Amino acid sequence: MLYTADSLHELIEEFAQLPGIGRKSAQRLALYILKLPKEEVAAMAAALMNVKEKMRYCTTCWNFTETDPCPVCSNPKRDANIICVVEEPNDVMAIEKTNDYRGHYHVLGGALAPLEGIGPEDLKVKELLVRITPEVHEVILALNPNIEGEATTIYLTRLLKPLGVDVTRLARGIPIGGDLEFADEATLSRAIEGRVAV
Amino acid sequence: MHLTSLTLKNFRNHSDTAFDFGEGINVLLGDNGQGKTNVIEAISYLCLTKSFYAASDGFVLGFGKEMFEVESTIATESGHLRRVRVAYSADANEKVFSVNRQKIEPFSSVIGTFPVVICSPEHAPITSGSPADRRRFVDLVISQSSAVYFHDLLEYRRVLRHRNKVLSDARWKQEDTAAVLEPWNEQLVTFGGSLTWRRKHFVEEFQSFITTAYHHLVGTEEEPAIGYKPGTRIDECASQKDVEALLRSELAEKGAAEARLGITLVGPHRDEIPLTINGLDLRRFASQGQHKTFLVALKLGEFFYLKERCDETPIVLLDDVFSELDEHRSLKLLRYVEELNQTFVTSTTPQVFDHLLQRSGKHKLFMIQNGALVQERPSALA
Ligand SMILES: Nc1ncnc2c1ncn2[C@@H]1O[C@H](COP(=O)(O)OP(=O)(O)OP(=O)(O)O)[C@@H](O)[C@H]1O
Ligand SMILES: [Mg+2]
Ligand SMILES: [Zn+2]
Repeated sequence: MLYTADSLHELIEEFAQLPGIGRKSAQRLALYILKLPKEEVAAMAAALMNVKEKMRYCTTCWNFTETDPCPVCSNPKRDANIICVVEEPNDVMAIEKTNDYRGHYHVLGGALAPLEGIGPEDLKVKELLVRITPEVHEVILALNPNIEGEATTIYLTRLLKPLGVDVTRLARGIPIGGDLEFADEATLSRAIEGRVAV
Repeated sequence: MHLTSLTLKNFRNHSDTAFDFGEGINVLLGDNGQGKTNVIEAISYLCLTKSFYAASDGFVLGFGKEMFEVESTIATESGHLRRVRVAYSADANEKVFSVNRQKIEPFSSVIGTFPVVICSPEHAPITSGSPADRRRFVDLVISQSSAVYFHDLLEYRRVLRHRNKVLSDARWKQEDTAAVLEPWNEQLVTFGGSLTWRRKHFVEEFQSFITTAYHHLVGTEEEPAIGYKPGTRIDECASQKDVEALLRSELAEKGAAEARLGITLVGPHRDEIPLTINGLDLRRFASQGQHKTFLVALKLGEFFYLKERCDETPIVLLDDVFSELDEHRSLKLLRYVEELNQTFVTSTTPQVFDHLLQRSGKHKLFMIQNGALVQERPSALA
């Protein structure tokens, strides 16, 4: 399909920029929008603008928030002396869903990846270090189980250890509820390597 | 395992070709440029999720076409039928791989499920080319038999690229390079140690497979050998942990040189896997016939190695292997191949295969012309 530079074409182009959306899906979305009642489109547009205008970073943990500090950082019932370090805001959402963790967070905004041009300066690393006061007794490194996450874990461990804080990391291995039989071989092999005494 | 059927749609010059294969040797016969290799290539897509030589999916898409599709029914040794399909669409630049209509992701997880041994002119560099060509051969053999090796190989390559970026890019030099390098050093050591250790064991074990195959092809006067010359001297290492320690100390030693050159100088990406006949380096001293025989022996060795390790016995694809052999050798090789598993061979001349068809009903011959199947023996209609 070849459009002239009309408004439909423009919308398709915008959608196609989104992660995980190919050209075909972009066309489908744009045509769907075109058929919606005007009020619904207005509500959607308002929601888009709202999120952009109201949401900002928490200047303590660097998660998205409408208030600074965010609800987690300002909650007196949570333990400010345990900090869980994650890559992205959606990692916070995942851990919050467990309802188990009562400490604070720190969102790095990614992981070390020289190939993509991401170095320590591009992550909230300095901002993490200033949070390590003598009262903080544990930092949990909860980064993604891939080489970039692992590199970031190694890098941060080197910086944090001298500050006298306990540094822990997530256990690697078989997902709970996952059948041993169905774990992929690489995961299984790592899990065997990292076995612990009982 | 074996393929019972195969269809190609808009794949290279095959706009719509369908085959019903025999369980034995399937001969793809036809003049030059008619589309025989293209069938072999399609089968490699099903087993390895990509071509064994084309760099991109776009190249195999039929000229002027929008999408290609390769589909096959594969019978496993446990008696199951698997419907394996690869489809590529140019518009979305999207490839889908599925088994029994279940999408497989990532593609890499399918490697080893349908093991395959391919021998074609594209593989000649294994014996005559650079160390990288031999590493690629070894990597594919081990990867098809070990998902852990394949995983570590992919991780290693990515670690290496990150690390080389840190070493070569001016931007990273301004940061505290040592601290930025360390996480990549650690992982280079972990995955590099794993690859080195496994390659060492592979080569030791693989030697006897090559010797058997080579002796079968040419007699026992010539002694073929495969060696392992890792970038790191591991002679004294008794375990993978020792290799890791060695890699770590070499990284420290070569740090200055690496910074100057901007590349990683330590690790299994610098391994050589020397091949020799009677102690003489194949690359320097072997005749063309010896190269060809050695290559076939490596591929037969690969077959027996994979047969021993994979759940399924590999299928064998021999593209243009018979074209340079005289009739005597061709027959000898055919007799040998007959005993292996389902095999696909391409040829421009029917002579050597005539006996074959008479010997057993497992074998079939397909005449390919201009991207289509024009005749089949024994005839499907008979
Ligand atoms: N993407 C493509 N779309 C359509 N046709 C293609 C494509 N790529 C290659 N071809 C055609 O396929 C033919 C080559 O097919 P193939 O390599 O299978 O030949 P072959 O039968 O193996 O020949 P030979 O005996 O010379 O090895 C050529 O005619 C070439 O033009
Ligand atoms: Mg060919
Ligand atoms: Zn906060």
